[in-house]
Amino acid sequence: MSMLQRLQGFCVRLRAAGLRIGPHDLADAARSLLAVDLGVRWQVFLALQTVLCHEPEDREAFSRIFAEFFEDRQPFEMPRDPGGSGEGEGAGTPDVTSELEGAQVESIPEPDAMLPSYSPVALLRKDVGTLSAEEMPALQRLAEELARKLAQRIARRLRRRRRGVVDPARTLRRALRQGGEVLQLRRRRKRRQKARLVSLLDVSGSMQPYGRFLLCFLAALAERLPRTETFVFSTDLTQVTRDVKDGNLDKVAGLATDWAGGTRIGLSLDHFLREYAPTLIDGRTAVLVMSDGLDTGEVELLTRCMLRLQRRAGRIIWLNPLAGDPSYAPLARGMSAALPFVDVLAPAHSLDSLLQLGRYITGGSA
Amino acid sequence: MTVEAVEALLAAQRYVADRPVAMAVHLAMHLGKPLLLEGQTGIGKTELAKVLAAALGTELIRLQCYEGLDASMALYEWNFPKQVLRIRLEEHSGKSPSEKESLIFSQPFLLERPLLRALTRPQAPVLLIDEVDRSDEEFEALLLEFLSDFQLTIPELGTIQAQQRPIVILTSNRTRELGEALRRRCLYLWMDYPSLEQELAIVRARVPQVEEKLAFAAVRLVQRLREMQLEKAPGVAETLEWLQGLMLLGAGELTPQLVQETLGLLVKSREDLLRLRGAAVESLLEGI
Repeated sequence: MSMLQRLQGFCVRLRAAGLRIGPHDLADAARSLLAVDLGVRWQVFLALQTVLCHEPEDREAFSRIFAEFFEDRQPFEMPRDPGGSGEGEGAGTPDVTSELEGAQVESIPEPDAMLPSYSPVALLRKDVGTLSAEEMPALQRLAEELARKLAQRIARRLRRRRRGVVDPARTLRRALRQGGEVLQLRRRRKRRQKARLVSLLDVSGSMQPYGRFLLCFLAALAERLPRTETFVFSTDLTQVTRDVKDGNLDKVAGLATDWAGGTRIGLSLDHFLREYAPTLIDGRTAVLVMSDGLDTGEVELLTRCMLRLQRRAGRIIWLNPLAGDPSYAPLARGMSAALPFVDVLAPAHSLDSLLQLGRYITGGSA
Repeated sequence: MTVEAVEALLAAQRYVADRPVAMAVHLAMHLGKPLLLEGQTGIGKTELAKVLAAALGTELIRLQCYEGLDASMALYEWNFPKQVLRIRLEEHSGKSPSEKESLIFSQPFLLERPLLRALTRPQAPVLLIDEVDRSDEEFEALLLEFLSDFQLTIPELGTIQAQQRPIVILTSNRTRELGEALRRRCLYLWMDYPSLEQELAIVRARVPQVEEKLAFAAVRLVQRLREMQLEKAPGVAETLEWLQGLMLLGAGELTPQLVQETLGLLVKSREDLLRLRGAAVESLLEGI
């Protein structure tokens, strides 16, 4: 088997293991081998690793497959100069060199489409409250995937719109064409600073089936969307931005004073408005409340707080897991009190419903 | 050049490169591909680019990325005030508008930003694109274009081709997932925290005046700290800084009190410092 064929076979194996081997990678791998001493195993290993791994997660599979594929043999049989001059920059005979240089881009066959071990589509629609423990890891992966997509969409949307400062160069160029007079200001297309997203997650008893899942989602979102702040509340409010960003979800669970106690939405909001809102919220901030609106506190306080919040924030989005039920009507005391001040009331019971979130946060159509 | 030669080249600059690092640099130069470095902060990513430039005796051009970085800061910009002044001067020169235009849109009125500068040097520079994860996707697209052809088109001037292909090093702290396309374009190197032996070697190279015993104890302590799941584990940069601090204090050996007093050089968040108060430091020092 020629060297190139072996290399090809190796790439196919890597691909089957989930590494994203692109069309140029084989050619680059071949060229990289020209730069090392093929008789030295670690050099071959590192050269191929540098070219073929694109993420830290790739390296484990790479090491395993490298060991399997090349076993204990020399990775490539090298017809070395019997005189053993040893120098020569590790290059092989002219044959090998030209063979490697001629590596064709399209020569890695496509592997069969791999079937995922879970069915994302079904999971996407399923009510999270009814998920079993085995489905949680898959769910977590999906939540992360979702958050990434969403973060991308939101970031992209936020960048358009908004007029920027005057662009002197473009203004001048225009002026030149008009006899040197500035008749029209040209603006630099300044992108708007990414809006802050503030999430308030209800972690009281009635939300428990969803709490953990929504937290996973918020964590994944916060990781990718800069300038997000996250809070949890039940009878009182706790800021968890840092822990959520760092993925310490267990710690967050511990932080919430009573993860499964009653809910005082009004009191929690009041706390938020007094302590955090002045520095966190302005007219461009989207506030995301995730709660079923089953309030055990004072409704009047809640109404007042919602009014204050509405005046300050750009948009208020209320995600309610119960709203996924087609027959749902916002009758819960807290929910009906808050409703007049909410820009969007949307369901948040499944991943599918969360995917719509991008549209609400940025206010356009998705 | 061979891998070993690269290793020696870096070592001459007192940069201790393990094999994967040397190989990645070697291939980046050999294949002419950009090298993407990822890893924790303070682990020597930026340093590697600096050292490489010094080792090759070439210029280091650095582009620090941030959110909102755009073409006018990364590629080039016209020197507007200079252009305006020139137009005023030329007001009665009798030149036609198109002559004036081509006058003020010429090289002397161009402000070179890092990416353009990297193309116009006579000797291939090392181009460091630092913390690329901080920039946004728009800039990533721009970068992709730049990295694929190493040329740049300025509408008023035409296309500028690289005189010498720069050696490009990108660093990322993974605060944002980089686009697939950019990843693909680059060679990839993940830098881990060094092992005890490696870190000792780094200390010896960088702070040679430190006594062996103290260096060993200090590095062991740092390595233990890294296992503690701190909010921000100390990087190699912190180790070196700390040791330099200890040298300044004339420390001969590590005592709990000394560690406590100098901990601010290693651990830089309040929560972490609180965790390491009192008994925690003593148990950390146990057996060292």
